Amino acid sequence: MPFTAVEKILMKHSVTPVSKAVPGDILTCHIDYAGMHEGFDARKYEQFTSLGEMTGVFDPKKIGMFMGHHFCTGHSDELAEDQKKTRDWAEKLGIRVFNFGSGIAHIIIMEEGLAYPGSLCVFGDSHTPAYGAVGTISTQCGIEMGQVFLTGTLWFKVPDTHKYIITGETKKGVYPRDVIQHIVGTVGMDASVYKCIEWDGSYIHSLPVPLRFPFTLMSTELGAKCAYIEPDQITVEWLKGRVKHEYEIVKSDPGASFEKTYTFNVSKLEPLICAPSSPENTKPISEALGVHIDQVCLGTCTGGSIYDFREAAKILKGKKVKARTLIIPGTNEVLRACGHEGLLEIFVDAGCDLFPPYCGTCQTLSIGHLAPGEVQMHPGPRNWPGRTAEGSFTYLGSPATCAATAVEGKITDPRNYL
Amino acid sequence: MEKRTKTTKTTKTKEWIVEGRVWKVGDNVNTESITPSHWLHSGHEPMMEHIGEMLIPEFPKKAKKNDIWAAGTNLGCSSSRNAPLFLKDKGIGVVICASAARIFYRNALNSGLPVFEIGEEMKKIRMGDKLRVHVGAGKIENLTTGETIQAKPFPDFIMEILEAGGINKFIVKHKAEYKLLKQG
Repeated sequence: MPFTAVEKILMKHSVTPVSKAVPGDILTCHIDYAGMHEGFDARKYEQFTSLGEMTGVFDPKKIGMFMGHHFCTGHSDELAEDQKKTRDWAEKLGIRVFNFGSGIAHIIIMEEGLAYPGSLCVFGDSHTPAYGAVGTISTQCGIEMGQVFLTGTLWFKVPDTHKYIITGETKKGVYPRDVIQHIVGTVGMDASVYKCIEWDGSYIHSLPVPLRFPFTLMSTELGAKCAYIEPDQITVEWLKGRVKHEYEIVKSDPGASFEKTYTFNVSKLEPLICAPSSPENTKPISEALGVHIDQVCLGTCTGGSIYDFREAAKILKGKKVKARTLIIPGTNEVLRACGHEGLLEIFVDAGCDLFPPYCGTCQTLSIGHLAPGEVQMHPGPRNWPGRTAEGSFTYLGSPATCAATAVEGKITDPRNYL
Repeated sequence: MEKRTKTTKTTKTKEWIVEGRVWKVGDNVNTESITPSHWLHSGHEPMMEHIGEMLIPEFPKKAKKNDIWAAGTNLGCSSSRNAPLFLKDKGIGVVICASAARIFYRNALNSGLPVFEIGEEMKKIRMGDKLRVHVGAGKIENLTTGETIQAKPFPDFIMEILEAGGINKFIVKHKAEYKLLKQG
């Protein structure tokens, strides 16, 4: 019987050996990597202390606490105290702590080879499906993390798989962030609720691994539980030096059953934006040209890779920005690459402000908060109300659209600068 | 938090009844609009004073213990914040929707808050209706209209987590099975 990749990966990790898994089955599985970031209050830490004293965790090397994904402490005594408590607790149990300034947890987990082909990972954040970009099955796990840390296992419902086949080549000025925006806008945010999305097609497989992140990560914006891209030669090359052990690439079998298949050809796409205030509110850029923008953020989990900063730098080179512009590399690896390639100089000379690796202004928890009435643009995945100040507005666009918009202080077609 | 004042529940009969009024929202309601970042960041009390107000302005002032949160499709999409736990803290006794987003669904059950997904039947539940929900049996009585809706009951292991008051209380209850918890 042919199986999909997600079925095979869940079967491979099942605590009780199984020879068959179909959508709807519930399997308790071993976890290869689990992580979480700081909470909005002490609750994430309390969810462990409420269990009583933990004498250990299932495997400290397979766990990470990301204390800087969302929050710097600012001047908050309470936050500093929470972070200290969590840090002390984690260090006692031998769990690695990633501090503020280390960057976006999801990207670090892939860059450091903690997620790898065929693995099963959980993380306390909705965008965990991201690791599907390296052939991992990964999904959000929140309040159940105590169960995972103590036992290294968690129950999963086997999901159906939706296949999204993306073909064609994009025109100048159109980027992966535009393509995923087009898809979300076309099929809607509830197109694949509770499904595994398998991304496929010549377009997806032509992309470098970091430019596949927007697809697997924003599978969440399509309602998905997890995402998956079959590892190819590009994946294997990218993982060299990152994953320091053997791994097995798990693929969907020929003839495996996909509940639904969507196909898209990207060849005719124009640059797009997502207008306030829902991630599916997709518009051609021509409908938003000239909208005043107070703040631009270059960075985020779907626009903070070196490929994104290279595109932004092409536009910002020799220009001066009119909008206040925040440069926030996704991780230290990206920051280092930006420095090495001379991009930081281009950004600073253009009048941008440089920030440490961090998740950006998609949710303005530490940096770049807006005043009511202000409007921002960034390449991140979301623009829901409730993520920034009440009465502020967020447009989403590709890193190139964001850069062109920064130069003019209003929404601008990136093709004018390419 | 533990006392369910109007809820009666006995382990033997599994009779867990929630009776209250319906607060209904639409499709694709995201967790940020239930529990906005700026209030989450301000602490638990301010969150309780403002929860849900972006969707239903009078909700935080008028919600009572054992009221019912109702919604269309894809309830609780977007952020992984535990909006269900805050709804439970606010007094919500059960959630009923056409469908729930996975993270919301799992957060709710693991926080001890039942969620019934009833699809098209959702049109039989309107804002302000009074419902009596038999959690164990999945039976929903609309006391306002007289209609009854049968939802799919939870499997036993989920019911055990719900009855314990969530996954963490379940773990404490079964401490002996967790070797990495200090025993005694």
